[in-house]
Amino acid sequence: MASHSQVLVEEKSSVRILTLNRPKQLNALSFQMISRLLQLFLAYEEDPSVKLVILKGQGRAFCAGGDVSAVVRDIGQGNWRLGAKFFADEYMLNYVMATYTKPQVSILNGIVMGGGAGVSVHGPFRIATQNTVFAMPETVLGLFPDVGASYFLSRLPGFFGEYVGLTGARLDGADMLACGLATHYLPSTRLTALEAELCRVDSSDPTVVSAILDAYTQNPHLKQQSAYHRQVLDVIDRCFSGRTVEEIIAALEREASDDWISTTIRALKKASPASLKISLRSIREGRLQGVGQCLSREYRMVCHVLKGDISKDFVEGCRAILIDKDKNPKWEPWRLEEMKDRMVEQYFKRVEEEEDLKLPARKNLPALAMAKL
Amino acid sequence: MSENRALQRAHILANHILRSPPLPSSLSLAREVCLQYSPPELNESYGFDVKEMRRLLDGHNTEDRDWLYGLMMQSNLFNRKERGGKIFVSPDYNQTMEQQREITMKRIWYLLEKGVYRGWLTDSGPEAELKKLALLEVCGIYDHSLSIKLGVHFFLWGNAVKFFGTKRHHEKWLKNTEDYVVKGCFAMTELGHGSNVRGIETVTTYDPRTGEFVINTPCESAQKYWIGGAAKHATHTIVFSQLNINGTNQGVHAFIAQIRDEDGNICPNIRVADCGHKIGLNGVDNGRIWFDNLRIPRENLLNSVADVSPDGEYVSAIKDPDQRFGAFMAPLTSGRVTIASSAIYSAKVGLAIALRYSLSRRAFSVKANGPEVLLLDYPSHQRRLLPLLAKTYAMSFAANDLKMIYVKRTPETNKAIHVVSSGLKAVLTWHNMHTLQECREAVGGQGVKTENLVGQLKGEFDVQTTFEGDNNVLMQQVSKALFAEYVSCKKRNKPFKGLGLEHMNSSRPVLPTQLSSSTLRCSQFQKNVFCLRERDLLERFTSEVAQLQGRGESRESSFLVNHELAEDLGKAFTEKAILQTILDAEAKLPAGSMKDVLGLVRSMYALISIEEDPSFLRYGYLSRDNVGDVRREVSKLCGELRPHALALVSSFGIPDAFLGPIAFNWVEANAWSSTERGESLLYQMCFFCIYVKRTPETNKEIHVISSGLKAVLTWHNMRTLQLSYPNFHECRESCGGQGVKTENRVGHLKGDYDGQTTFEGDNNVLMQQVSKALFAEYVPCKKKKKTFQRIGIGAHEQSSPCVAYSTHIFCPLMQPLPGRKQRVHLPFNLDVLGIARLMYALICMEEDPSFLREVSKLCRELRPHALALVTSFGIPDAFLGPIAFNWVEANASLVFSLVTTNKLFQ
Repeated sequence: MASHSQVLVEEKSSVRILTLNRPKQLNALSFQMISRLLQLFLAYEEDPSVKLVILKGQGRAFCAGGDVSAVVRDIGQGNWRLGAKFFADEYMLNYVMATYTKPQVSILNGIVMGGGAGVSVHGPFRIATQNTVFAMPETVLGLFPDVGASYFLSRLPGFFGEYVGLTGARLDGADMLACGLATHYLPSTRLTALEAELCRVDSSDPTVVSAILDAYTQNPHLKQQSAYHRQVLDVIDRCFSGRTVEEIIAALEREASDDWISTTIRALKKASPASLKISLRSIREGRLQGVGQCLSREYRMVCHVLKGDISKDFVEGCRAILIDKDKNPKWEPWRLEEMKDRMVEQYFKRVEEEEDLKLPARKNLPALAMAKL
Repeated sequence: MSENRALQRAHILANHILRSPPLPSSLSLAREVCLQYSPPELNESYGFDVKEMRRLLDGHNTEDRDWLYGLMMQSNLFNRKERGGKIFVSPDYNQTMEQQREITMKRIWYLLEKGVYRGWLTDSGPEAELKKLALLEVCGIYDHSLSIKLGVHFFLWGNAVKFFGTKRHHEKWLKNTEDYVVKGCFAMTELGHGSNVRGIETVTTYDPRTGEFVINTPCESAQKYWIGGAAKHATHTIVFSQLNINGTNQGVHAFIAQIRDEDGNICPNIRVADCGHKIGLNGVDNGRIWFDNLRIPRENLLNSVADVSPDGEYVSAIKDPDQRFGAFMAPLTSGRVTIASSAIYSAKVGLAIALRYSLSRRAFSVKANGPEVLLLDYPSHQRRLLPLLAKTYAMSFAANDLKMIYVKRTPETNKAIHVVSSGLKAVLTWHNMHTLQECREAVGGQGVKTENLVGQLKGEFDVQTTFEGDNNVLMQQVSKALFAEYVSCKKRNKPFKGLGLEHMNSSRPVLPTQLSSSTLRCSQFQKNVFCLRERDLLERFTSEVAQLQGRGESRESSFLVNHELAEDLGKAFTEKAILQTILDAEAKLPAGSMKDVLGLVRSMYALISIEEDPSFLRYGYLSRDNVGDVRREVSKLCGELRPHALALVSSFGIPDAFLGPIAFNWVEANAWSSTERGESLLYQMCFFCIYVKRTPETNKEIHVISSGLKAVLTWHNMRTLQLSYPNFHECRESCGGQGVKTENRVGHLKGDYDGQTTFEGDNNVLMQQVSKALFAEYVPCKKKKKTFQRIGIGAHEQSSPCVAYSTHIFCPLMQPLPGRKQRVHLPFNLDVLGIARLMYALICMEEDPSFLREVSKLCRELRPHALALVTSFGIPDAFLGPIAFNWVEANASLVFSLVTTNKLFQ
């Protein structure tokens, strides 16, 4: 096992521990990592000696997302289809994880963003710690919450998913547990002991794994500024249930102003108008769709984003946030009302001469995975 | 062998303990070791773009619909529950009536807070109206009570204010209605008068001294009845009443009256009572209202058509009271429009559930030790569901079309809207009831489980065939309107224009004598057949009526005598209108897979309509051979539509959460691990057994006869309690609204007895067994040239042996009727039993297109004996419902508390 490898593999009896290993890039998912993960996951599914898969990250991040700077380079060279291939593989991996026949335990001891959520939240067990920082920051990058986020965000209680997906708000481990993005919470000091115990489990029965995790889990207090307190949640349900982005912002502006309200409004005004509108629509459709349909739709959307045939905000967002770091993107269209319904509509149509995402056929699905179809 | 068995057992045990998938093995075990659910998505493919099809079917405001679905799914008020790992939302129908009413009101408040009704009354124009209709449809998919309670408030009360009222009413009420500051209801129907609005007995006079109207309920039959919202929540009502000015009755007018104050206390001079528990729609608080000299300001007359001046003078621009009434009622079409489209969405829910289940549930193996066969792979199961699917598609386009005409209405289109909406409301709601019953039976016992929805929806939607105009009455209105159109065109010697009658201007279409498969699927041929039927029936109807009129009969009584032709004509008109809408939709599509599939669906719609309507044979538009070709083509189309079944129901766009658990992983949903304590949604059915005495020798005969009788009798029971065909007058529907009231029993019995068509052997399976047994009997006898001796088989051949056979058992006195035409002679001086028997035989023939006969004469002969015949059933009075007796007294205000009767007993 080479230490320079981007995905480290440990074999402990019937358990495989995979470690994302690009700590300098906060374990951002490269094309290579995605291919490797997909290959490993598919192989483990066939291998009767493997019962359980653990996924974690090296260093202070679990995974800060997909490596989009490489994709932006491809677009710059006039090769958006290369980028599309990256997303196709990533979504395929998300789909395999969502419909996996063996339990996946993700240890989220650090930053979990965008694509990082995609490789963890679809699995049945997500462990948060005091170090966890979660966010779906795509709307400030000119992208939209993808990797199946339209499936899992839309299934959070009330309209919390719209809030998290549109504003890119950060959640800590306690928030994640409260809203259901995480299934367990423990202090990071106990992770070693937990891992050791999981390695002895020798079973693929989710109830057995769950019993072990339940013994370690704690119920942390929500922080003072958490958005998951009742009064804030009520505001979120009142405002983020709005039919359109404009209505959501108008509703927020009608609320009595406080720190949370002004931060939220600021976040929405900073984000790409095109991104906000397609993200909202994506979450709303995702609520009524299975995980496969969600990923297929997101793939159509991301192809339009990469191709830049409606808006080029993705390149601009990456420039302003990741490359030039001037944090001053020039969105086009600039205002929400300029982003017309028929432009939004365009994102949901198939890109010409581009195949729809081909999801792999799945067999022997457990009931939990069947329910996601 | 024994080794195999040991291994098999080990597998089963391992499967139970580990719940792991079975190991792949080289054993010759054809069956799965343990029954597993396999989602239809994994085995079926989509032959066209489902999303595009959904867009086409919904027609408008797809995103608004999805938003509202989401609002319901994300709130705890909508009774979220998890089954088999999926979230479902549907009302808890096990709640008491009071609880259902309160939760329905809370859901209304929640949606109000979310801004769902914004602009429902204050915005106008087609776009705003379509959005409103779309959102109302989604509410109805969740729960009929919710959409009806909203419908009463916005479409009846709100629209009455908007359309019957003038500026002063609009300013005062519309915004307040939209914000639910006032809660409105609509008091039109009375105990004694429903569809016949002009006969209502409530009386209003004017008092010029105070400038007030005085409203009175003069007798018990004048009490307002079925008033949705009146029992609990409404603060205001529209009152329909005769207006009596200085001793002259000016006809029916509408007024606004307050019935409750802000705190919900009933106002003085008003009495309100509850209509009680119903067979469905218990989330709607239907009530009864009496007015005792209630005084309301003069301004509360809704005066768009007529007004009363302060000094008590009646003024109206329309002098003729008939026309005045017509102008007045015209805006009420919106109710029929929304009912028609909500009926189709309910049929969609039923079909999505039943078809998804039939794509995952298996039963019986065709080969010994072979795997069990998917329900939908049986041609008989396809024949049950796929024609209904095609009809639902066609009618879905018709409903959309109706909405479009409605939202773009002009004074000129009012008549067409009235006629089309009447026909479609009747046909679509009948179709819904028929579809739900078939879906209920198609999913077997799972259909009677409330959480699986199909069975429950029957009760919830049943009243659609009655409210906003009884279906039979509406169909007669269609025929009358067509009659008037015909007469006026002929009189003035003008060509037909409008109502789709333009085809009458060209020559009568000639149908080919031989019908090949491609002819049958040709849209022009299908149009010609439908046009020919409509044209011929219209001509027959008008000439019959004219003949009677010539003999001095009044027009009304001439209509009455020809009610059968009128019904056939109404149906012909409506079905042709529906065919036209799906043809239009198809024509607009670019060439491609979607257009191809829609073409199949359209052909199925056209051919199944022909197959099911005996008119084509009765009046000779098609020959016996033709009809045989049609039947064969229907079964071919079933096979061709089968691969698209999943895609076609997925295109309905009903989110998973709004279907029932059996539409998905029903194994997991029923697993021990998913049981929740204290929860038992399965309503107990009233079982009764068919007891048969048997000896070893008679076993076979008893088996065959009992199978046939069980199926035919239970179907007969369900159809008598509710029938789904427009040609029959059935108990529930012929009692009108009273039939949905639980205490009156007819409606309620349907639910109690529905299981009969399924338990102790599914009816369709039983009927097939009868045919198989007859086949088994026939073959050896023919072979050995022996005479038929058992199970009453006469030496005759039948195209559909089982129905014919069951019919045959019932009338031992009738000679077997061969397939060839044979005139039945009516003997004179028949005793009553004889007439009844003959009626039975003839109605069987009438309803089975294999025969042709008129039965109206016998109807008239049986009419004098109707009371005697039902009395002979020997059901004691106490076991019937109150409407069977003095329904006026039973609903009188004085006895509505049971105390008085109880005292009598003490």
